[in-house]
Amino acid sequence: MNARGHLSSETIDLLLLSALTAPETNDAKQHLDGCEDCRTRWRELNEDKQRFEQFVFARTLPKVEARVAAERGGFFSRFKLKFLVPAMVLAAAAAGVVFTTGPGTQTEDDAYVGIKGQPTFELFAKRGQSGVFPVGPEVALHPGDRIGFMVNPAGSKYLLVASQDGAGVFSVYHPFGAQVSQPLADVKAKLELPGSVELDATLGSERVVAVFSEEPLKAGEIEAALKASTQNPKLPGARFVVREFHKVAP
Amino acid sequence: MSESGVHTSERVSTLYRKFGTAIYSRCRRLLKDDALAEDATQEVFVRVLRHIQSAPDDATALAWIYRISTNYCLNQIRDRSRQAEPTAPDEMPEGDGGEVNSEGEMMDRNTAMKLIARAPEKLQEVAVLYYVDGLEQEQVAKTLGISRRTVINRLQEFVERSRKFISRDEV
Ligand SMILES: [Zn+2]
Repeated sequence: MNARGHLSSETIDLLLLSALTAPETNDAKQHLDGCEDCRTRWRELNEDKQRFEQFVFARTLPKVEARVAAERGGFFSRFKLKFLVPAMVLAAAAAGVVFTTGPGTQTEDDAYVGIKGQPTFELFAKRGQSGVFPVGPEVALHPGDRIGFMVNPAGSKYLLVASQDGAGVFSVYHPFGAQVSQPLADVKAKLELPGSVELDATLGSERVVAVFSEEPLKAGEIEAALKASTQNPKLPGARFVVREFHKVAP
Repeated sequence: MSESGVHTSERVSTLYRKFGTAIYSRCRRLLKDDALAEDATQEVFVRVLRHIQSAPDDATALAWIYRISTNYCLNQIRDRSRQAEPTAPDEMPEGDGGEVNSEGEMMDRNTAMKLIARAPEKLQEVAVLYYVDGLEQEQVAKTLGISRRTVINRLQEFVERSRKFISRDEV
């Protein structure tokens, strides 16, 4: 309680974060019981928490992450992308379409695609101080290279990017280490995912998969689908786009 | 596989989830507009992130949030009032719960915000933290990185200026 007989914003915020000591928590709660004004502020804060968690967080997180990545002078700064995109399109055209899921998933996906348009997923790499280059099946990557991702969700609501490396080890690349897919902004344009992943020393063929969905999916389910078939993973409600590259010693 | 950028992104979303409510609630209260508050929440979070990542505890993180969100929202309010037509000069509360007395009873927050919007820029932050947030003078000083003496002086000046707008016996 402050000298003016009420709880400060700090006390109320800390109470919400469960960051007060036990005696402080008791004092604060006792004050709330007896003070209409502070009770109103406490109620408002809890209502705001609900709004934030239900709506604002999901709507704004992708923008926040993109901003943070950009401000860190991220992997692909905006100006680099301008050069990158045409280069990528040319490279993809030259290479033929990189590598997508086999025909087996098409029946399920077609309904999805019919409504939503086709989500896309592209891989880029950066080696040392040299520039960013698109990754296709003809490009060999090295341990220590960094890879980044660009997607067009085509209106899909959730995304998870995972990998199965040459040793069959499954990892979640975006959101890094996450257990479930993350909400996407409602965009129908290409967007660069914030951050990048440094490739480890495991050599061989690595598959990176973007999983688009309408509902959040668990990383465990995606891992199981990949274990069942890396070429043609299946999971109800999911649209897989698979990319493959080879990692060789430099 | 090792991490850096992507791992950071995971930490960013955890911090955003944790502290987003405090930022959002504060911006809603100061800006009184849901859409503006939503935009402000992202802007403030991006600005405050570096500080809360290195904050030793939640209270320190909140102090940064108060400082940066107050500053950001006050700027927004100033921009808005610059764009808007100048309002009638005395469209102000007529002693409706404006309890600005020298003991510093916490005044009604809406009244406080109206008065603060009219105060000179250098008095605004102090007044928000003291009257709207109910922080102690000492906490206001620490949050803004100024001396307690400066806080007291600015609050006094704020109260004196506000008297012009509030007609109440005890003021
Ligand atoms: Zn109270």
